Amino acid sequence: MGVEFDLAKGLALFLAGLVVAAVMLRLLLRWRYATMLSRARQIARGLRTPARTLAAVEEQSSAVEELMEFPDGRAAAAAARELLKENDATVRSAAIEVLREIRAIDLWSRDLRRGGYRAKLHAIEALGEIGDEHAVEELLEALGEDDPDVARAASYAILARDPDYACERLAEALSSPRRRLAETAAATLVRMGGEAVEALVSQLTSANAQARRLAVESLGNIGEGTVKELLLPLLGTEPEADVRSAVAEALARVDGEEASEALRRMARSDPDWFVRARAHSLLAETEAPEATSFLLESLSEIEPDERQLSEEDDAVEHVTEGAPRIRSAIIAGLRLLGLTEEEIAAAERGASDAAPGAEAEALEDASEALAALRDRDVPRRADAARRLAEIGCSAAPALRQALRDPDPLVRAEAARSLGRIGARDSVDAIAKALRDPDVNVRLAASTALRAIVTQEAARELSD
Amino acid sequence: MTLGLVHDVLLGICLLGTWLVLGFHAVLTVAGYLYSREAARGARQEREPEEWPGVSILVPAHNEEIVMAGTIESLLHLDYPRDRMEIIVIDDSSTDRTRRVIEHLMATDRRVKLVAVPPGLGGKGKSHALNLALLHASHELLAVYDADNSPEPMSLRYLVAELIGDERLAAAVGKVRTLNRATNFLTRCINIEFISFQWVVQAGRWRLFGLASLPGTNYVIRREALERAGGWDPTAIADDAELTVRLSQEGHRIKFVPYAVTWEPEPQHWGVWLRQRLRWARGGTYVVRKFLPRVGRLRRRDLFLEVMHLVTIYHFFFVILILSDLILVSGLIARFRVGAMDNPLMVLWALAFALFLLELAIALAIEREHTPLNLLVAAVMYFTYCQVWIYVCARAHYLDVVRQEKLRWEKTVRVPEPGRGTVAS
Repeated sequence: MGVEFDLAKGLALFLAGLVVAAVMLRLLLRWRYATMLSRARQIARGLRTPARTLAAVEEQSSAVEELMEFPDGRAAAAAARELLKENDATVRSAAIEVLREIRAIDLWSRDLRRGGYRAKLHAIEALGEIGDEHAVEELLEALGEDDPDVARAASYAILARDPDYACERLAEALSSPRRRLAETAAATLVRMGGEAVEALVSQLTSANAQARRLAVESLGNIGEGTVKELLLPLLGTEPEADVRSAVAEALARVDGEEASEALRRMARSDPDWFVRARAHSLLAETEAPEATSFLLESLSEIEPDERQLSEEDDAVEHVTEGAPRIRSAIIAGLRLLGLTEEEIAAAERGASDAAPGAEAEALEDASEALAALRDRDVPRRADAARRLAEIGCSAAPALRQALRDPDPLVRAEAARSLGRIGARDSVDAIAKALRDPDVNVRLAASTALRAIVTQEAARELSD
Repeated sequence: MTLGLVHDVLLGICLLGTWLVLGFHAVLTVAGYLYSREAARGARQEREPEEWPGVSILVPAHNEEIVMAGTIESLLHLDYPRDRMEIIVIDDSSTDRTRRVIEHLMATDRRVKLVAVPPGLGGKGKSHALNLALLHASHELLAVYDADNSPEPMSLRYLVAELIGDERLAAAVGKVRTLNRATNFLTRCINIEFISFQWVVQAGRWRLFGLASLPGTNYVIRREALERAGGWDPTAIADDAELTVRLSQEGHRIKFVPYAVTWEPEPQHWGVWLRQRLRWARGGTYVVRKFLPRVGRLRRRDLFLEVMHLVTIYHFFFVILILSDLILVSGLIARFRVGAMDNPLMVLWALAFALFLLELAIALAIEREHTPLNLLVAAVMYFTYCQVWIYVCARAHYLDVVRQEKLRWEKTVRVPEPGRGTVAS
């Protein structure tokens, strides 16, 4: 009994002692900080007088120096930060000088990168108040934050600065490789509304496809009257499918026959399968005039063998790209427009009745894929490289050529297809791809080589 | 006299076992804490590669119409180069509107792709669905997410950066957090259990032994390593634990990346929770049965540790927990002077309980969830939530050993979560 009592009591006393010591230490640190802050505030009073007389300038200079050498950097920063709210520019500028010198901006920048939630919001507030170029740069970085609250706070802090400068920097951020940062910058520009249109238009000619896409999306979201005039010409010139798809989205928000007509044109003749699929679904979503008849007509024109079944399991259907995706988009669109499953099935049956022979179609597919390898659209070339694997060994020369394609996406697909068809005569070409500058191509090439070696070994074993 | 000796020996075994497990976990907790400091925010930015590899995200789905849209939308918002990722959703014989929801989202983004198994032919479990998706994946890195997950935007980026930064790694696994942790007592307990598991078992083991387990979701794995290990085992109902052991067997490493976070709703009702845990327990014992005989022969340290971890959870600790309860009850009876009992043993029991609480408190503090309510729930958890584990393990052993019932996939029932996207169709 005695052992139990002593142990339990000792443990309890030890824990209680620890808690009391921790509380005491915390109170001591708080008291110390409060004392330092009060001293720093007293010194900072010398900065409050606008520097318009020689005596005031001297008083400011001595206060600035005193604060710079103050033993507690955080207290000095807090006191100087309070001066940023002063009306007089000379007082604010002196305060910024102090903050720079005691490296408070660096402190807040570090908080912004590594601190907890509260420290980040505090740092954003402080940097927003400082508002010089260095501070705005830090705030722009914070647009890519994981926490949406922090990213939003940073965007509001940027908006509170000089709008022209903020617009320019935000528009440049649309090209950032950090997608989240770029997207938050775009959302901030949309929040600015009409003021941001000029900066966004300047990005429509950017060399960076992501910047062009985000500029188009933002212009569509701002919804200025000029959107149609700005975006329609892009349909003929824009090389990137994702940007054209964004143009379609923006146009879908604009009323009028001209926009509907553009969407119908995209649905029929855009070189990229996804843009065609998206245009169909947008026509349905906007309930454009004659959308139902247009979609039904498109469904009847889709190749009948659009349902792709897996080689391994006949029942498994894969709807990954190309015609099956367009068909899927049209059917989803028809559902949105209120057609029943029976009506859609009837329309599909109508389409399959008009099917040409499977053999002729396969030949047509092969020649189409070979032609598509020379297409200017990268996803189409990659798609063709992938489809050529279904033709077999006769496609190997074309695929070897595709290994030299300027785009890594196409090169990787070509390597994979060569592996899939087990092209022994292409081993050298694939081995060269092991030194490709793109990591995906290298990985695809190593997988392809392994596949060829495995197939070869299996063949030898069966022999 | 003889009865007293048996009693003392049992108590001795129980206390030794409890302290061994708790002591090991205390070491892991400290290691987990150290790892939480090392994995601080600053370090992760430095690991970003100049060029991002392609990733195929695989999402198996069986009757997931309630949660599907929110999950795909979260995946589309992942901060990863658009042209370097695809999302392959496997509609595994759903009989609800899952496919319609997927098709609706496919129409908005080219990256969403569908592999559909017609109703009546699928439903053979997650591993089977993942193997089907593997045939259609275009990239060399594969990410797996459950159909009810909301990964944080940067999670995939962090996982990929870690994985490609170290060639010895076969997979990088992230952290799973509980979305509905404030809903009721059960979800609070699950939240504490998950936090503790990830900071103690995952982070601690990674820090000490360079070893972590694949969770069922939020991980990226190299296709090459997966294919060499033979893909996912369709007979395993705990696909994650099974694959972890096979990867270890091949000499691969798995890294825990705590800042790659996904949020998932956990069961809110005891019935759903019991079915889910019964599946985990049976899946875990399947792995033990499959690999325990090979542990000695293969002499792989990682494999040994992983299998012994499962043995500890499903067998050793199960017995210890029952004995520990017996000590508590007999100790309480002794207080009323009904039987003979040495009180110092009760003190040891109380200290073990205090250590258990301390470990949970440290894990909660690392996650910044050390609220008074959570600490209270952690204290009550031992006497409630943890005790149900006895029933789960006993039932799993009964079904496996006595009834010899075939393993089959039990789908976790979903509940709509406020704030997650849905698609009207």
